[in-house]
Parts: sequence; C-alpha cells; structure tokens
Amino acid sequence: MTLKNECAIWLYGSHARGDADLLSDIDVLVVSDNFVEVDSITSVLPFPSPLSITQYSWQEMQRMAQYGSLFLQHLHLEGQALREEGPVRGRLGRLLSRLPRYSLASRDLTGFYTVLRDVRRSLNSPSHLVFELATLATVFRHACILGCAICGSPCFSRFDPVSRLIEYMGLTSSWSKEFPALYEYRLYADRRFRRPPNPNAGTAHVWCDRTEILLDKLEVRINDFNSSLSCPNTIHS
Amino acid sequence: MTSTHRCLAQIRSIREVSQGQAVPYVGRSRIGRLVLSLAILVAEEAGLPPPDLPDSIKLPEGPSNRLSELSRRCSRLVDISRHLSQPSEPLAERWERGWHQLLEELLALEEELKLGLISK
Repeated sequence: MTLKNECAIWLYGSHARGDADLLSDIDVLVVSDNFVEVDSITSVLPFPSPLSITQYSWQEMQRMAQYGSLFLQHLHLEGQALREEGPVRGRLGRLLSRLPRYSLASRDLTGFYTVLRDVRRSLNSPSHLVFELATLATVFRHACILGCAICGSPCFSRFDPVSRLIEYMGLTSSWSKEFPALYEYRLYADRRFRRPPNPNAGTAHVWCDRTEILLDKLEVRINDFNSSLSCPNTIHS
Repeated sequence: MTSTHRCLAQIRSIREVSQGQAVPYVGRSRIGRLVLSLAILVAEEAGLPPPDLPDSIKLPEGPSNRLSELSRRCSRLVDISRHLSQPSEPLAERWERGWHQLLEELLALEEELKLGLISK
C-alpha cells in the first residue's frame, strides 16, 4: 500500500519525548484529507504494532489551530515529523509555529465538572466502578494538563502535569504520590495494564472530592486567565 | 434499576449532551458508559461473566435474535465512538457531522430495548 503525498505522519507522546516505558503506547498522528488505512501507516514506520493512531484532516487541523488546541501545543512542544513529502513538507510545522493561546479553557472546565457529576451518579452502580475509576483518572489528568497550559508551563507526560499542578496550586502533596495507583485503571481501560486488584467505591469517592477541589481552584485560574489574557506567574518543574 | 432501564437512562443522557457545552468531551464518556451497560445487559442474558469495561461483546454460538441484535448495536456504538472521539482531542466539528448517525443508532437501540421490556 502507498501513502498519498498530502499525508503527513508525526510521532508524539512518550516515544517522541524519550521517556517511554513498557506501558507506553506509540502515539502517531496522521494528517490527511483522505482516510488512511492502518496497514499503510504501519508499513512505512520503523515501529512495531500496535500504534495509537490519531487521524485528522488538514481542515480539522486548521480549525484546531484557530483555538490554540492543546493537542497542537503538545505536538509543537515535542512532536517529530516521521514522514512529510511533496506539497505537505513543513506544512504542519508552520501551522504549529503560530498557534494562539488556548481559548477553550472554560468550555473544558464545564466538561470536566459535567463528567465528574456523571461519575458521582454512576457510582451507585457497582458494576461500573472500574470504568468510573478510569474516567476519574482521565479527568483529573486532563484538568492538570489544562492547568499547566494556562499557567504557562505546558506539560503532557503521564504524571508530571499532575505533580506540577498539585504543587503549584498548593494542594496536598500526597495526591501526586497516590495518583499513579488511580491511573492504573486508565491503563487497564486502554488494555495496557493488568486489572488493578480490589477496586473500591471509597477510593472513587475520595478522588471525586479531590477532583472537585482541583476544578474549583482551576476555575479561579481560568477566570484570571480569561480576564487578564496573560498569566503573570509561570510554574516551573 | 434494571440493566435495561439503566441503558435507556443513559441513552437519554447522551441525547442531553447536544444541548450543553463541551459536547464531545462529555459525550465520549457517556457513550462509554452506555456501551458498558449494554454489554453487561447482554452478558447477563447470555449467562456470561459481566465485563467491567466498555467494549464489543463476543457471544457464544446460537444466541437469540435479540441478543445478537443488541450485541451488534453495541459494536456499532463502539465503532461510531472511536470515529467521533479521537484519542488525542475530540472535535466539536466531527461530533456535529457524526451526531445524526449516532442519534439514529440510539433510536434503534432504544426501540430494541423497549421491545425487550414489553415482551417480558
């Protein structure tokens, strides 16, 4: 199978950062206006399957660039071009080099609060506990990634956004140490880790409360961010 | 609340997403929750161990038409969800384009579930 010249392929995530471990997947972005079969992507890459492949069209990438997408900021920070030929050579890099500041932080916060409410409601059903723990881990980490980004210290690795934001927000430091155990549920949901033993609702309720505290603090920062259009303090790892 | 009623409530909650902000982000987890409930319902009726994560469900040989249909619809929702929700960033535009397909699938699933309630 062959790839068309309008197709760009980039590597991002832990393999691009150089901190991959046995639990890491290989994150690959494919930008193409045509649907690209997975086989034709894997055939041109020097990686073993399975890959975690994201596909966007060029038009979708342009729209994401307009609102300063965090995913594009992630790519800008650590992405690497794996294949760019002909008319698309350098096209994605140029798009990433002029990203505006992220403008959808309030919308994301609304989403995090809504998902948190959904999780709390769903915890009445014990059969959903593992799924809800995985969802909580995702929301907590995404909120930390957003927080780091709006505070001028974008960070996209597995755990650094969490420890960095918890420290910056003055939250209890033990949360950072305990978060990897919660994140095991997310890794299990992605089929990258064994099923964590003894999931219990108490843990879920604790993390619901912690997530709500984090979101409340984040809301203050986002309001400041939106009103001042600049973040005076940056955080440092 | 029975598994069927739980699925019906979750279908309604996905429909409600279209009226709020952060549509793709909230929708992604609500679809996951529905797929899990549906897979649990099918597993219960087929006498299989209940799954703890949302995914397609493999039925043993010779299931009833109803179970085959529910299992097929579960797989369809998984496929639609994968297309609408990229692992990196869910897009509002993609949701708007895929929303009608999702609504049609939810409507058909709702009918199937209600039929199951009537026949019991």
